[in-house]
Amino acid sequence: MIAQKVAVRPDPDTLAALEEVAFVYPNGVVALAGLELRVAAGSFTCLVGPSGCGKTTALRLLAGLLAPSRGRIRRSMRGPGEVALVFQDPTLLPWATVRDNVELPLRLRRIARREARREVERALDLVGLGEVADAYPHELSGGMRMRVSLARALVSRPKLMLLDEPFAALDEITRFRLDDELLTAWGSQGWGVVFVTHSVFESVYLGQQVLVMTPRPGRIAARIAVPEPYPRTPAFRASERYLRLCSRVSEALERAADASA
Amino acid sequence: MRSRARTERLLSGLLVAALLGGWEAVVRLGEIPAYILPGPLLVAEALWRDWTVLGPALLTTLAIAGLALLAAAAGGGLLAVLLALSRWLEAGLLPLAVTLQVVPVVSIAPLVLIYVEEVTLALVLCAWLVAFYPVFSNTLFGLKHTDPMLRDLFRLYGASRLQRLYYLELPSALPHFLAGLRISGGLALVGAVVAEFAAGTAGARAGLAFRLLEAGWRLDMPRMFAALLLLALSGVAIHGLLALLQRWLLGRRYPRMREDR
Ligand SMILES: Nc1ncnc2c1ncn2[C@@H]1O[C@H](COP(=O)(O)OP(=O)(O)OP(=O)(O)O)[C@@H](O)[C@H]1O
Ligand SMILES: [Mg+2]
Repeated sequence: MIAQKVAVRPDPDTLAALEEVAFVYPNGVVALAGLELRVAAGSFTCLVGPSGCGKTTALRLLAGLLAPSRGRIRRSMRGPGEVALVFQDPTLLPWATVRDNVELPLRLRRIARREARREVERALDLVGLGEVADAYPHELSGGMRMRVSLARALVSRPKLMLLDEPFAALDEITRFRLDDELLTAWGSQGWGVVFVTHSVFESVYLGQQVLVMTPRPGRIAARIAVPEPYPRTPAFRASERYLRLCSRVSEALERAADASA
Repeated sequence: MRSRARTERLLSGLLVAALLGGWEAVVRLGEIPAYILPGPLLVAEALWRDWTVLGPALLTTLAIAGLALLAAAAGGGLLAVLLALSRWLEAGLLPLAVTLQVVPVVSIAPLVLIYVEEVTLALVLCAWLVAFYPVFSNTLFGLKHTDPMLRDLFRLYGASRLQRLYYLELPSALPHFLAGLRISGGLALVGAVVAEFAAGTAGARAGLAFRLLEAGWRLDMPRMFAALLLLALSGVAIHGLLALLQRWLLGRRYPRMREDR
């Protein structure tokens, strides 16, 4: 059903693209209308927009979990496991330990146990959960569960990494640390990233570009480039240009909200 | 917590003692003859005196109920897995299973007893017919109602049908399977008793239900009550064993399921 609408075109640079995409839920809610979004290999795009504007819907379309009602999706990926999606909720197997949850994508790909375990330990250390590897999800805090879900996406070594407000439930210090860890991992593994966030500050700190969406039905209202080289450091957060970019994103959000009201 | 559990146990012990004491008192003070209502002391005496008859009968009935329960667990679980894997089988077999469930055993038992010559086997078959459905339908429900977000995750990771069964559906269904098994445990005993009533097996292979009937024909009320008591205790024991099994299998992996009784 989905295959019909996805035209796979060999285009080495574009991992996935939404072209004039509209999406209507079965109950008639028009979540997206005329959305244009292209994810290039190795790029880092942040997506901000008011609650309910269709950000999650857009990610699910990019992941291939939904088919568009109108418009087209182009995806250059074929194999399973090439897309990782960190859902807005942790979405863990409740009966499996933290370690087994993170190992799941590797098991499904039948990767040798020894190698898998090594990757899992690395990812768990990266998100700061090495200590609780044997705990069950219900024994963790909400923020810890979210980090497990992030570790699971990291081990799957995708080409396209979709993150849906992954750090919204974390305190600021942890969040800053994980932002940096994510950037480091991205730098070494070079996925194309779409990062959804409610935080204007986070979007500017992380992305090469920030896309601002309108209220529902969502489409791109503004595209703000962040011409700051990586690695980004805390000094960037304190800089004049950072704050200027942040206020540009904020203004774009307000304009988008006013225009639709 | 622990002291509260102890208090509860003490209270229920006292309640049972009070009931038995009251019963004995009513029988003695009211001078009710034993062929109408025997007191608990007389029942205990009958249990002791007739143990050579009741003991083997108890074993027979327990064996029938136990075998039926095992067969129900294996058959119900396996059939549920098959139906979950194949829509075809589900369309074909589900109506049959439901039909078997709604036909009262009492009415099938004589038929089964005609066709199956080996009496014990026939009794087990009857008890199995009663016990089968709860395990089966609960397991099928658990297999089919997995978390949709987790299903999306498995899809993204390109899990095969069998991987989804093994890593997602079977663990999701385990608590439902065990809940079904607890219902089936009680029903297996009911089925065994009803089938024995219908079969009326006398002699060395007679079960508790037949001994109960026999005592009734002889107006041996104390023995009738003793047999009844053994049946009740069997039910309690089966229930308790299955609760232990449930707790042991779910352990700390399934947080919410453990509380319910
Ligand atoms: N399964 C669904 N069925 C019907 N409507 C839905 C469904 N999922 C989402 N919607 C609607 O579609 C719109 C977009 O939802 P979506 O989850 O994409 O928003 P979002 O931008 O991710 O919001 P948030 O920032 O709060 O997570 C919302 O108005 C929501 O009510
Ligand atoms: Mg969302």
